[in-house]
Amino acid sequence: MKYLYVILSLLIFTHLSVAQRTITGIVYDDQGVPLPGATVLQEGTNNGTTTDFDGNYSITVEDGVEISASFVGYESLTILVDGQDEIDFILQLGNQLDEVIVTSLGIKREKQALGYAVSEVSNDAIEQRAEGDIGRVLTGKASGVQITNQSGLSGSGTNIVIRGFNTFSQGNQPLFIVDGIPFSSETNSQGSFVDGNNGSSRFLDIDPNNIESVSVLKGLAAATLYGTQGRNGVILITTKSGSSSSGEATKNEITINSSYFNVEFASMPDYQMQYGNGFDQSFGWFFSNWGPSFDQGGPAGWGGQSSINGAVSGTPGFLRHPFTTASSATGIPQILDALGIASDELYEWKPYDSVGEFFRTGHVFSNNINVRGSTSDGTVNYNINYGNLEDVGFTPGNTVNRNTLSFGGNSQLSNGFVVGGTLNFSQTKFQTPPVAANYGSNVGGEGASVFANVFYTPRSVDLMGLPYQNPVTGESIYYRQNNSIQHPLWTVNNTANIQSTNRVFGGANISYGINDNLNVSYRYGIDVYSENNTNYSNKGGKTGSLVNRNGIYETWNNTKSIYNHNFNVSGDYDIDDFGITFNVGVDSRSDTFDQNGTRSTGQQVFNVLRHFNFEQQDEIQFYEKRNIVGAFAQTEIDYNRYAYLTLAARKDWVSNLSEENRSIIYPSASVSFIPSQAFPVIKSDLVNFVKVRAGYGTSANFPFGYPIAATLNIDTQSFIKNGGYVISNTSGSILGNPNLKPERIDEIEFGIEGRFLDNRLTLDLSIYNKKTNDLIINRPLDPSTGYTSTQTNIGLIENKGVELDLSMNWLENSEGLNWSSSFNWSTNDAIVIDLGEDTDRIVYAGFGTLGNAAIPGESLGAIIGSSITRYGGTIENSRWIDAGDPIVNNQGSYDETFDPTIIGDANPDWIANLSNSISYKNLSLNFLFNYQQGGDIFTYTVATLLGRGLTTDTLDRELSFVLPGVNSNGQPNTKMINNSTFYFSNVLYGPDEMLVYDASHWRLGEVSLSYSLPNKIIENTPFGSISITASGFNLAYNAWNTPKGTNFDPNIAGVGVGNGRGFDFLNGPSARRYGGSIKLTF
Amino acid sequence: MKRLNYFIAVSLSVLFFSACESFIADDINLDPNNPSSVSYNAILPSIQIRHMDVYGGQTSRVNSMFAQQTEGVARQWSSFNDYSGMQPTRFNAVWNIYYGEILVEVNSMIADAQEDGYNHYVGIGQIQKAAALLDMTDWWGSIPYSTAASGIEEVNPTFDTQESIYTEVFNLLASGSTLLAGSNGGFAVGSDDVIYGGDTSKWIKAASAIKARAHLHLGQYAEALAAAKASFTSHDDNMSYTFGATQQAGWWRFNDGRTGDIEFHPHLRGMMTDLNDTDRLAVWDQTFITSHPYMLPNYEQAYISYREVQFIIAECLSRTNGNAAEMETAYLNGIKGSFLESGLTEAQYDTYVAQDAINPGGASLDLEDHILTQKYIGLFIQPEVFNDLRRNDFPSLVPTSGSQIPVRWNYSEFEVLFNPNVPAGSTLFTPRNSWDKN
Repeated sequence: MKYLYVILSLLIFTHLSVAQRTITGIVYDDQGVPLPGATVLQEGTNNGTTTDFDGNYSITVEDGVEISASFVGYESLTILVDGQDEIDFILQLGNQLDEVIVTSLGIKREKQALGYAVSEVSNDAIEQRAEGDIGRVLTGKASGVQITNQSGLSGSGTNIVIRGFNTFSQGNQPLFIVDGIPFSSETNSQGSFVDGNNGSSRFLDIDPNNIESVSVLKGLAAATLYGTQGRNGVILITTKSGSSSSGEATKNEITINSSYFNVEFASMPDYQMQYGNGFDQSFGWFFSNWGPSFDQGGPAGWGGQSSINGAVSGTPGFLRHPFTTASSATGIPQILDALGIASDELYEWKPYDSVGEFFRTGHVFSNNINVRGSTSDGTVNYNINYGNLEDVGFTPGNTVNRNTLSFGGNSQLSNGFVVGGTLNFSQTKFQTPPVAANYGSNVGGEGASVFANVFYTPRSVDLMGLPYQNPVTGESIYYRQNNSIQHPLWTVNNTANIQSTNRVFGGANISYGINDNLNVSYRYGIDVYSENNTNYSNKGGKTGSLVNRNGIYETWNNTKSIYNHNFNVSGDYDIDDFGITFNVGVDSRSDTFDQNGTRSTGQQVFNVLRHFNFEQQDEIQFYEKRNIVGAFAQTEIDYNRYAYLTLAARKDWVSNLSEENRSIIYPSASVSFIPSQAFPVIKSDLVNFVKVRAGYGTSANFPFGYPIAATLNIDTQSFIKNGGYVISNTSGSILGNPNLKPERIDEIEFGIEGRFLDNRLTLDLSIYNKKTNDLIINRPLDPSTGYTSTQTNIGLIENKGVELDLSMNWLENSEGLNWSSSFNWSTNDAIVIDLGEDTDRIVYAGFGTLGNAAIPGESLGAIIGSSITRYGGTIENSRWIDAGDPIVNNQGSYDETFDPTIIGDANPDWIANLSNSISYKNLSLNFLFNYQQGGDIFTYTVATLLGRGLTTDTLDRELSFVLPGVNSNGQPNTKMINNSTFYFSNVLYGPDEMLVYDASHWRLGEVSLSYSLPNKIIENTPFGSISITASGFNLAYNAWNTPKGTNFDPNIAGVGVGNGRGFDFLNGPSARRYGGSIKLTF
Repeated sequence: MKRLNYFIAVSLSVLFFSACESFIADDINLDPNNPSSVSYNAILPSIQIRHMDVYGGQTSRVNSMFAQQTEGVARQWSSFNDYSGMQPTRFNAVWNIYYGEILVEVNSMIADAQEDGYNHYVGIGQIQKAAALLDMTDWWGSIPYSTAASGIEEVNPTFDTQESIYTEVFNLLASGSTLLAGSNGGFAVGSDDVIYGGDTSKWIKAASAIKARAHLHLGQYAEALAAAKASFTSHDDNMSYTFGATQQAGWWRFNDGRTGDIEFHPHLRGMMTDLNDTDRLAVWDQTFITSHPYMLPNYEQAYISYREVQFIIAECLSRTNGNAAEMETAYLNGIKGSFLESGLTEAQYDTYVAQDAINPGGASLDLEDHILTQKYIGLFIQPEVFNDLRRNDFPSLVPTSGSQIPVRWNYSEFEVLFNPNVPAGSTLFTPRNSWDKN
């Protein structure tokens, strides 16, 4: 690190002599409109100024020098000073060659100089959206970025993966940088997906309405300067508060954005209306809906059921009320009086709209006020933003409330320093009933699930009409005769997961231009949040673990902090035909995660949620700290502005590995060449601009935690000797590995960019190949070593992909009709090349025999599970080989092979997004289509809806079924089976393979129609502009390879935010949102 | 201005580099959630209880089933009962506990205590280790030892022969006894010793008892007799641990979750009925549920007991034609120990041994009909019954399936999978232990 001293000592501080002649003037655009904030500069010096709001400037120079005026997006103009007192500039609109893009560390660079792909998303694609989560708002707006909702719950987690999965043992979520400051974007879920893992992704703390722009750095060449932190790509967010730049006068303006949207349950299954509760056409108060018909006659009619119309005659049929016949052990028959139910109460045999009535129409009400402005000379800028979000989800009990307040500003001091800063405060409260994994029949883990018991409500059960709570004990009561199903309304009213977060983030920066060419800057950033988690279930539940049914109350706080220092020296020199810019600096980041809380079990008084009302308390405590120091350098050399070379490197020192493995240097190089500039002959109206680029970058993935030391587990409650003497129980089965190294990632990418047909068609194509070496995997050890596993570095994953962005301006007419389209398409193949000699399969998400596995030669994201036995086949490397037809057993069901094989691949073949913008005068229409081809999903939602006979897909139940396949002798199967054997025993509870569906789908992601009031109407009002927008999100979708009646939406991450993909454990219905917004400025 | 710039640059960089030293240095890399080492008084009870738990838990269940004192009747246990379900995977947990939670930790405790010179911790550690090794070699035969439990240093430990393990057991017992007879080096073992509370004389007796058991296995009756006589003199000397209400004894925990999987064996019932052993039968021969009077949560699990030692004395005297009166006393002490341990009275014991069939008088005591029979009954559900069965081929049992009763345990599935040194061809039925001559 010593070279920093050298750099510092090289800094030469110069003084400039200043001449005494004042020139004034106005800078106009080509339409004659004054340009505020344009830069007027004496050539070759840093003597300059910016124009005020009316485009006026004043500069003091000597005769004979040249002064230039420049403005982003316009071509600069230089004029010789030769006695004039007044010089006006008229700037021509640039041909976008000078498009400036925010790159790593906030360094603004011309897009044409970049040797790698960067996607930019501007604020009009982000504002006024019905989702308060910036991750979701970005869906479909940048190629190569795959965004998956954990579920349609408002405030649930969002999984973001850029250019495929680099690793399966470590995180794949991108780095978030907000206004130059590292921003903690993790998802602290409240447990595993089995027990219930609600939790927001912490980028929910940003109000999308306060975002000015987003840059997505996809490749490693683009993210080199972030070192290890940038390995999964970077989402660079510039907030409105952080966007004010000094030295540019801006209009003092207040902008108000208000929106109201309805939130509806989008994936409502198409329930059949013909059959009710029971099994094999016989009535029973069961989970399943294979009971008799709602018609009296016919082979399946209720007329044949003794339990229907046993007491009364006539139509419709009547049953005994389920509470009157419940087992006396449930205590329900004893409380009929208190429930107001007569002992001979009847219950009508008919379909009820239980699911439709259970879910509600929620709403989103969001308001954002932004105030921005500057002093007239532009030396002081400020921006204040307040945002409020109220999101009431379609699921009862689910809400998100958020308040955000941000200040930003900066000032150019007369001594040459520029100081600035931002400060953001946010308060986010997310609340939902618990959502544990469900396997088609109650939950399997500890907690409850609000969705599970709703979706398979039998058609003849009146969910909303049945009392849900024992008025004496408070426990859940429901239709099942042994009371083993938790009433969904009880879940809504007696359980909750809450995350209430207070967060402060922001920073201060100071920079100083030493001379024209050199600039020194320093930035300090903080991001601290305190996330208060509550998870409770009153006693008396009927689902989950015994502990959960006896009442559970957990409260804990997660305090996360990131402190970041960044010191950077940048330079910019022109030497003949060469231009050189460079950045050299150091960066440090310190992450601390501190968790403290209490878990109480055994509730005493019903519905009193205080720890002292519980029998037993256990501690929740966890702490993790990691520091990173990095030194970086980057230089860009251009030749005549058509050939660019960028070299960059960063060296990181990371605190949690042993000394010899803790530092790594990441070099990168990229080139950009612009033939259309170098050989003007190829430039024409057809071909306006062509650029080819190539980049190589590296990064590393350091493990989290404390992986190098063998540690002992302490459990003071495992052994208590008589008399209460507490003994520590020690044992550590995981051996620390002091030789553990980070995973190494390197990537090479090529690209072509161009503009054609008179700049109407824009193309940006990237291909890349990314390899992750030295994968960190858990290597099993011979137990006689004393340990069962250790983390080690073995193996290789390769990602290959293509990203294509196209945009087309079909019609351009400032007075009339405009139509532009943009399209992006991306594909990524992630292949596990090697896992070392000892290992042929590593299951890294889900369950050991049903999950995502890394298998050499196979796609990373492969789904493994039990399969249908194949005639004559054997299993090798997790696949069937020499496999014949599926084998059907003597009962007519598929024979199941439990040895896991690959039953699907969660990776989509490709994804594409098409957006269109059509405007006519003040009216504009925008819409966004999302499309995914391929990718599999293992779904209990579909399987349960079919397997329990609920949707219209199962109306064919009076038929017989013959499964395609052969019997154990290889003869074609002819065994006929009935509906329950087919749907229940095969479609739902057959081999895991039967639950896998192709997740291809299209979606109408966004539609909006907006109208700006014409100037002549608002001229005499205090308003600067008024626009009104009607918009809808996820208005329609179709996953055509899933059964139609299930209306299944595959946009779901059933195992939560992380590396698991392609699973749904009845935990993810989706939401549809529509409403209107108004935007006012004054 | 220049000076100010310089000042800022220098102070920033000094600040940065001085902070940088400690920023990534080792002290921030200490995991506060999990310690990397703990003190003796925390590690000793853990080793002791782990061992008692595995001994009185899975070891007791498997061995008493092989010896047909208990019978697996439901779920997995019916397949274990006919040996078919006793696949290598069923031994993973026990294998992992012996290596990962006993050997690694006892080695580390011995090494630390040796360094500090606290000889009594070293001595107790060596005796605990000897006991664990004796179990392991008796259940599995050849086991990884000399290169085992050393983590990444040796990822494929080699297997040592049973003979060399027995030698090591005797060495450890001798060394442990010597150390415990000497100075504690300045730090006495206290209540963290959950077996004897730091009573060194009892530890020395326990070392003798284990030694007696080991010599008996090897057929070295004179050495076994001498060691047994030097060991326990009453039930109070038992090397045992009493489980409690929070961490219940192994059988109670098993019955808590798996009621009905294992039951009392008809063979033992028949044998005891023939001997009019009604009082002990009344206690033991009940459905295995959590309220079973012998399988209580606070069961006192002995690793080796006074009654076993007395039976060893009786057997050695019988085999070496020793003093008959002494033999009778030891034989009766063993039976009495069992009665008292089962919560029965001396009067009930007196009635029982008053029968001619039980005690025909010292000179008439038969090795099998009396001494080995009463040891088999008296050590009900103690893992040692499987050793006696193999050593004596008594009682004569009919295999529950096939033609052979298992003669050993399977190696852990993961050991077989990952360690190429695992002896090939080992099953439940081969090879026999080196001392299993029959």
